[in-house]
Amino acid sequence: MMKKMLRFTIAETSDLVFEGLAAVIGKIGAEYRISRVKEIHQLVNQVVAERPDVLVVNMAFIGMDSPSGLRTRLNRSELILVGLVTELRDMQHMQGFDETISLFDESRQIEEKISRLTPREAGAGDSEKSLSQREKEIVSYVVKGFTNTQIAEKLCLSKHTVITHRRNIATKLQVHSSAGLTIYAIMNKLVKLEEVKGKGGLSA
Amino acid sequence: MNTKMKYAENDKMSALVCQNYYMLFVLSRFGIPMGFGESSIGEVCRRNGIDTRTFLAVVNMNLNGETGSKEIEKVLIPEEIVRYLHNSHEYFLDYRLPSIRTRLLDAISDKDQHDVAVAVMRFYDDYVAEVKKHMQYEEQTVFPYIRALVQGKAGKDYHISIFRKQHNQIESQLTELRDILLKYYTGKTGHDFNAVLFDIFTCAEDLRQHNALEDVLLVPLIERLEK
Repeated sequence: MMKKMLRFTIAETSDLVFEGLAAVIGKIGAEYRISRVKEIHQLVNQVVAERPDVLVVNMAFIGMDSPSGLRTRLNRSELILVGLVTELRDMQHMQGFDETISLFDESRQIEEKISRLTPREAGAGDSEKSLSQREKEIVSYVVKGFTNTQIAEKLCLSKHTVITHRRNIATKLQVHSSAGLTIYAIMNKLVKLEEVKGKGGLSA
Repeated sequence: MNTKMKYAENDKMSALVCQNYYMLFVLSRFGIPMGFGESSIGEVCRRNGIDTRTFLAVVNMNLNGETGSKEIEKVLIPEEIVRYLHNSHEYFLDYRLPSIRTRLLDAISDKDQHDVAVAVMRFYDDYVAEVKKHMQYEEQTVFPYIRALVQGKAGKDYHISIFRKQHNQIESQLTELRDILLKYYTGKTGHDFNAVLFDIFTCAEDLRQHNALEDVLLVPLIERLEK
């Protein structure tokens, strides 16, 4: 199974803790890239610039900020936020993190926790598969400009099912816009050019 | 591409480019001509009327993702950053994106794949229109505001936080087109196709850096100025 490379940013002032955690992450074997934020005022900027998949942040590091407040400020809803607990008393503030790692965890536990975070990319394993017949039908309706409700009626499905199909299509193809789907559909002869919305020819 | 090194005024300009040839794009937007011989970064900047600290801030941010530390912010001149960003807008809209368009059109004009070519070009043209809108907003609203702010003449109805909140990832659609061509294109491909695909890769990365510069260097700088 092909796994996508995961980018970690670790916000931690202690060299020892940072190096230790980086070593444990490195042992997991999949592809990782780790960067570090040493100073609190660089946190937001660095996350914006580096776009990590996972941000590991020491509770003491963010101080008064709550995980949800931090998430809002970072403005990245898909970011996996991991709290790092170096003092036992911080345990009570861990709500709002996707996972917490403690200084007292064994490295095997940390490995498990981190591996468990990756299923967010779970689609990756199926992504090689081509679309099912039903999914192809839905793609062709989407690019012809039908709404989810209209597609549901045409195919006698619930709107909810159509939305689930669309999400699966986006995950399988890694194409998220309907303009992108249009190109895919034409390349794969699911629709003809005249059937899709849009204008503009091949003017140079 | 990434040597994790911070460049300083006394480093040779030629060394910077040889070690990081992607910096050619940055140089071109600063309007720095080649032929710098053994001159240092500082000398080349002064010769061309460019603020060295702005140049170094842009370069180091591009290379290291190095960002608005307080020391860097203190020495930056907002108008100089704006000047660079403005040049970058012209560069993307008047040169880079049109040049990719011409070559993309050439590369996919396969007679058997006419419909695909039309769909791809529509996507591309819509994308460029979006980029134009995005950059025009900055040119017409954000930059004039910054210039007024520096002169102490800014009105009360605009703040850089408005920009920060709505500033979207400008390169994501181009990345999507790149991936579609890469994974699903079924027409004939050859040297031209791969060359333009390569250009799309570098242009998307360049646009991402351009956006990051606005988010990471410009916004904090202006926020500080507003206080």
